[in-house]
Amino acid sequence: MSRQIQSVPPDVRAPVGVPISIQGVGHSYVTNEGRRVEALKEVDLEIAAGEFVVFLGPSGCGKSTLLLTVAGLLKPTTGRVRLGDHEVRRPYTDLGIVFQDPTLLEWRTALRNIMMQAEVRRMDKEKARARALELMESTKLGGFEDSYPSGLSGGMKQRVAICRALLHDPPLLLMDEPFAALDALTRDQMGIDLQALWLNDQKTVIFVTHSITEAVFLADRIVVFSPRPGRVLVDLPVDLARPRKLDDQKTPEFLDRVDKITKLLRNEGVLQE
Amino acid sequence: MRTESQQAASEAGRQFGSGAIGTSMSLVLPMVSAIVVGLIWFGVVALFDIPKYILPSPETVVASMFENRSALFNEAQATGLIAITGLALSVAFGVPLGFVIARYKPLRRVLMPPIVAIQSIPKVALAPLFVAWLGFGAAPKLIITTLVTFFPLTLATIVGVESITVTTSQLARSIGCRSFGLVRYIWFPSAAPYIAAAFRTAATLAVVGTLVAEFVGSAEGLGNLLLIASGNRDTTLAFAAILVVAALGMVFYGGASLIARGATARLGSEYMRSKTT
Amino acid sequence: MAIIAGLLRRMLVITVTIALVGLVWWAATSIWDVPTYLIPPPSEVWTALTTSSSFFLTNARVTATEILLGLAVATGAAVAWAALIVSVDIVRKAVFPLMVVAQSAPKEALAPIFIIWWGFSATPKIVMASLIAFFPILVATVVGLERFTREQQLLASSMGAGPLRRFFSFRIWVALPSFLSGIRLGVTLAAIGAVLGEYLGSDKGLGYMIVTSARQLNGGFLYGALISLMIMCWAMVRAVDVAELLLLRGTRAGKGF
Repeated sequence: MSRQIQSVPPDVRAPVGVPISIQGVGHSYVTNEGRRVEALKEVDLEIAAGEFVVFLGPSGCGKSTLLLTVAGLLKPTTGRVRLGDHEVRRPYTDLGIVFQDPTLLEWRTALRNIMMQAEVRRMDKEKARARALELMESTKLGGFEDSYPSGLSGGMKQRVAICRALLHDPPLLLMDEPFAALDALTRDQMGIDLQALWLNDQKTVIFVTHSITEAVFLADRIVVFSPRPGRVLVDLPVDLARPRKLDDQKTPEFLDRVDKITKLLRNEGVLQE
Repeated sequence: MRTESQQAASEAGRQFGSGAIGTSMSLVLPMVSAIVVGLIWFGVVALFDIPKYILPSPETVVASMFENRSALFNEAQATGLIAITGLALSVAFGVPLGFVIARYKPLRRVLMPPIVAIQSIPKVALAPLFVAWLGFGAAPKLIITTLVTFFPLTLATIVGVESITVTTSQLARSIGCRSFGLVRYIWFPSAAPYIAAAFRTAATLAVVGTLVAEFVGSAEGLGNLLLIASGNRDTTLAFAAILVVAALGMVFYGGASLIARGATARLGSEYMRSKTT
Repeated sequence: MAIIAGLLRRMLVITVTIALVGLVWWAATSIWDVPTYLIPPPSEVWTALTTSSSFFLTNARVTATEILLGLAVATGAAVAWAALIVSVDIVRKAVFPLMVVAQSAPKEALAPIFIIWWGFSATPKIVMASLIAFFPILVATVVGLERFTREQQLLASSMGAGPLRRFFSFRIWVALPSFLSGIRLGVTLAAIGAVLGEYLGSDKGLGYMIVTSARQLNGGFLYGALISLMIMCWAMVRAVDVAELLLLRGTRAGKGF
């Protein structure tokens, strides 16, 4: 796989990884009944270039909100976000984004969905196409170039969405519960494949999830959020060796981390027995 | 991945005339039924000895069509021209207006209620008003035809744009789509199935609108011919004109379908069908 | 509470819109010298409506009766056909595609023939109204009845419902949103049919008032009759909306436009 990615011509590649600085970002909104709701308390986070960070927390804790704020798709009520030395004010486009819903355009084939990225960015068509085909090959989508989304399984659709997010080789990959709608087996496989992709080019990744196991398996660092209004409960480094394997999920080191986060969330009243 | 009920639903959709069998059936069945109706018509007239001014026999109607072919052709041309012009005006202004309304939320809040309300009033009833204003020329007919076809197209465009999900627009913005790119890559393809369906409907509505406008006040067109024929109790000629109107309607519907298919060829017919049953 | 607030807001929007239109109308007629038979000032229309209110009411009643009878005939026939189409496979395969095609045929062309057949009576108007309204109601009803999924059928059976019970207690409710949207379309179409019939040959009804006052260049009566007709149709469609709101309270369809 790594051989294929490296064959990409250098001028399509961007510098790998970007550091992120989240400074006092908070979100509140006014409901239809006129009540002011605080969704996210002021959050400070420094993320290093090439780091794989997982945001973990219960529903409605504002972790997706924070992710969209980093992309410049939401304006924070307070605070600001810096990507490298660029302050995010408008939608920031030098990144790839993957949602829980694959968000494929139903009128385009798998390949043309990926190429959408190239068309809008006016990338060199031939080079982009070659990279798209390589990405599809390396994510086991070979042979499905001309399939329409309606003919793909949930996992395959999400792979197409990931290829689309990576086509322009962005320094930052944002993933908002990308595997939440997939079945457990597909989900494990997607985790393994994502790790391989990331190890290959070490982009900065922010990955939002509800799953503690998924978080420990993927992350360099897990940021655990409290229930609404969201605030950072703990910022937990995961220094387990890479590449991690499914069997590693049974090791004491792995279980220790899972246990720690479970206890933490239980103290917040998220898990009650 | 798909549940059984979804499969059943799409199966039902196919049987409703969108699949391969449906397409051939939708061509054969009208012909078969036309023949059946013709035979019943023939039988009724022959058996019950119905006066010619009430119901002429099919063969006299066909003979009348042949006899008056140049008049019928000219009037059909007049009606068709108005209908096409009105339809073109509606597409040229109604669809862009739909995009603009869908784009600006305040505009949508102000304009949607009246547009929806206008849908529920019989617009062709306004024909006498426009005839009183503008006389027997092309203008009142054009206004009525445009009025009748305009709002379905605008509404379909708005509904189509509103069918876009939040994540899709977030994705488009994160890729870097701006105004024109949004319309080209997201809005138009999303709205296209709705617009195409509305366009096919509008094509038939255009013929109906022109016809009714001609009933109310016109010196030419198939509607005028129909009125003159029925005024003269020339039921045979009236039926001949009705058959020509039906044919004109079919030509418009078929033509609109072809145009819609051509304009959306890139989007794939499977996608276009999936949005409209 | 929320429903009432929404209703009040909508009422406000409508009132403001009507007031604005009235103002522009009044300004247009008083600033420019438009002939009153083309655009009469609002006051003239108001005078016509109030001084001849019983005349307007009599004619409105005639047209309303034609519309409602046409709609009733169309609905009855459409429901009967729909039940037949969804339960008998051969009928569905042979007849339904035909009905879909007929939906877009220009049936209005038959109006002059109906006048020849039945003269100035209410019959041609009712026939025209029901003919135009029939097809959309039929198609909407069939589509609605087809929404009854296998799972829903199994669920109903597991509760011990027989075929009739399944149809009347379950399937009809599944079909209701689509059926009502068909009725909503049908109301406007029936109005078009009835008024068209009156345009072509009648001696009473709002359509008759409209054509005669247009011919006599009587602006007050023309506009009065047009406005009465529009309000009547709008009210009928809103009545369907209210029925939908009451029958389908809380469902997504109940909030549809």
